[in-house]
Amino acid sequence: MDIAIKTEHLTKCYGGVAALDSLTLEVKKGEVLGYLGPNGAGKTTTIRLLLGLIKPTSGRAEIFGLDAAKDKVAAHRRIAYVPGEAHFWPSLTGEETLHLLGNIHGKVDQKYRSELIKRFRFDPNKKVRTYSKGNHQKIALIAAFSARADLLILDEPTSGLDPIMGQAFRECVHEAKANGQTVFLSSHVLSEVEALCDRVAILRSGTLIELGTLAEMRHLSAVTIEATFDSKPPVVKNIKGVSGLRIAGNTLTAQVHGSIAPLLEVLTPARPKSLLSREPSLEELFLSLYGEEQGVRSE
Amino acid sequence: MGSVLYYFTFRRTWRGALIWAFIFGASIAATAIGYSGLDPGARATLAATFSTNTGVMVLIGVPYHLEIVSGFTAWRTMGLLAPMATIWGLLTATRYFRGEEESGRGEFFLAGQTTPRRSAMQTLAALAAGLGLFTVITATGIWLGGRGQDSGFDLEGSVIFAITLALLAATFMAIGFFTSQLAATRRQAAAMAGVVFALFFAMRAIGSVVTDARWLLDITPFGWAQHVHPLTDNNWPWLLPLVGLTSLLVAAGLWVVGRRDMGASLIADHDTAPAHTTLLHNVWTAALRLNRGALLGWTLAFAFAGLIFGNFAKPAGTILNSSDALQHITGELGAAGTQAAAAFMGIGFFMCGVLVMVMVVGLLNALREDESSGYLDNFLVQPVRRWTLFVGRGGLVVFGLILTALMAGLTCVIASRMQQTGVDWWQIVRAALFAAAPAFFLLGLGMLLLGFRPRLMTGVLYGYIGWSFLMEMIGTLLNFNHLLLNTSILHHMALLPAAEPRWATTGLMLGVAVVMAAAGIARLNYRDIETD
Ligand SMILES: Nc1ncnc2c1ncn2[C@@H]1O[C@H](COP(=O)(O)OP(=O)(O)O)[C@@H](O)[C@H]1O
Ligand SMILES: [Mg+2]
Repeated sequence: MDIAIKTEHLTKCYGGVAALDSLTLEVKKGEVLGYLGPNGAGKTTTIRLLLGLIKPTSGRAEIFGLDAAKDKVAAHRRIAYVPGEAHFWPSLTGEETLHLLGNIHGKVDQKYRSELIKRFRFDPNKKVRTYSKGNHQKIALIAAFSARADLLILDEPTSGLDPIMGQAFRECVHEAKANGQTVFLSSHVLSEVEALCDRVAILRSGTLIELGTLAEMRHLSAVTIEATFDSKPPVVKNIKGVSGLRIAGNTLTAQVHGSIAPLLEVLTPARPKSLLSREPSLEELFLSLYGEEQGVRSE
Repeated sequence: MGSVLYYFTFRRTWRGALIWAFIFGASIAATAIGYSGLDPGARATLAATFSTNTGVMVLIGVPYHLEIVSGFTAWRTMGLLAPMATIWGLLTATRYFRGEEESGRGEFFLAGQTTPRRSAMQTLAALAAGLGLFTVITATGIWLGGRGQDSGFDLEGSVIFAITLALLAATFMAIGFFTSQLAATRRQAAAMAGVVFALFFAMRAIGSVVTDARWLLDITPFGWAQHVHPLTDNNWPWLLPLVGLTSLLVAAGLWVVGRRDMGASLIADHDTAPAHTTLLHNVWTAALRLNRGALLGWTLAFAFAGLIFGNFAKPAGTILNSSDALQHITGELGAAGTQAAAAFMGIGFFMCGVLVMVMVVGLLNALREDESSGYLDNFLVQPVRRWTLFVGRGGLVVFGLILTALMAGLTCVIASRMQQTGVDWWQIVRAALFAAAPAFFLLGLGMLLLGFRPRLMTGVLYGYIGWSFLMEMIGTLLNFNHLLLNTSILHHMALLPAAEPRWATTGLMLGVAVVMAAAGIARLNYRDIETD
């Protein structure tokens, strides 16, 4: 069998509203899947369903052929999980927490664990209550990666980590992949997923809207341009690749797919005071791709 | 930064203050109205019964002026409401002073320009404002409730009554504030404050019953409040020690806050520790490790309680001997000295039984918070059967119950031996174990609620304890029908070792508890895990 995760019409409703709507998805063994979606899209709901923490309203999920809701113990033996906001017991030290988590899971690569503690520059001798959010996150990451589990389920694991630690995290994912482990990585940042994943699934308001390899997702890559002028910005409406245009006072914001040269040709003569380019947030991207319907408001 | 924290805290306190004020005002008014409906003959009987009933004196305090509405109302409601006001006070304080810091929300404020001391002062001011609101509403409720009765309550007495309750709450807020500065976690702070509460309450209970120990009333906040005799004597100078102790604790707490601010190493030292991994093997031993502070605190409190009851059994028994309360308890007349001592121990274990129910709710509430705050997820995503996890946590509570009961029993045996009361040791230990039976029932009910209505659990359990308490106090007085009285868990306790154990009732109680717990755990095994 070469399927790690399989869901069929997996649905979870809260008070009649679908937090996850009929998700059908397969993740192959050894694959790194990016699970992308803005806040509230249903990523955490999906993960809690996969972990059997909540039960589906309809549909089902399988982990290595085991029913996620019924064969929890067997499934969990092969999973390591990192929550988006890890909470550990304030009265234990970091070392004690890692020891406990390792004992319960039953499988720890001690050598790799020591290496991870160094790599994440984690001081395990302090009480958990003194740790910042980032340090809580490090405990969860070290415990998960050192378990060398067949499947890693990571729910926005880098929130609270500084960029250097983000780098260490990427290294770990690469090592896990080289080791044949499967990774299910949820995120709301496109660039993080781009750097790590074989395939990307995109979720919006509980519905899977895109699924494919990074090459197939090319149309998603865009930059956000933010330009401020002394007076009213120039008209840029019908320029190739420009979408999601917004004008607030003397500031213009737009997403550009493909080359930014045509836009710059219009902007530069108007002598912008400042010109910024950055990665668009998923909300902005969706806005430019699908317009405003059932989505994120612009103001 | 200004007074952001002040408004932040006040916004979250005023509702609680208002609700408590309404409950207090209403129950005081209801007592007054109920009592004034009695004819003089009935009042005299009531007064005679109460002023000789040791059990009532232990729970409520020394009776006075029972023949008039204001006297009876003040005595009774003060006795019943004082523990509630104080528990509210210490829970609120530990939540704001330790809970906030723990959850990291405190850092948000510290990031501003304010210092920890200033932010503590703002929070204190908000709590004081909440108490001010509480005082006004409660005083109004008392005053309105007293109108139209025999003589009516005067405004002065109503205000002094309300202030007494507010100051009691304030004293325990100050205790909670102080323990919050010493403890590392909210639970620890609340447990420390809880032990102080138990001590002060036990001093009040013993001082009320044992003539030789009357002085104990003069050194406990509950005693000071009792001495005030609002609505009749209005001995307001007894409010001064309440004010004094509160100020002292606030000043001491603020001093510690300042210390910590300057980065004293005292507390920082505890932030690093060598790893102790003995108990960190599996989910059950870990539960023991993570709750050992609470268990230790409760065990010590019960050990102390047992010691006290054993020690005072003989002198107290002598008083009991001459009263008809003993007849009430044992169903026999003319008990010997030994049996009188046993009767006093019986009352002591009854109180322990009530207290241990609070412990059960506390431990169950910790489990509920472990779920809602995501701690439980750490276990639930592991290859561990879910129901075994909850059986383990239930088992931990059972372990705590048996441990505390045995501890209270054992220390009582030791003290009883030294005092030569003549009560058999196994009778005392058996009494201690039987006293824990209602708490087992509560545990079963709690597990059931945790399975089906987790959000309601804590409220329902505390409500049920309160209801049982109320039934015991009011039900017997107003000759309620038996069905209603039977809903009180306390109604099914026999006052061992003086009375015979009720094997059938206790067995039924435990059986129902096991069934409820099993149903709750079965549901917990597959229901959604709810985090905030
Ligand atoms: N326990 C719950 N009760 C009600 N609504 C919920 C619950 N959990 C999640 N939701 C809702 O489901 C939607 C998806 O949430 P979530 O899965 O946490 O999103 P994400 O992780 O992608 O940010 C949100 O609209 C959220 O409000
Ligand atoms: Mg999420």
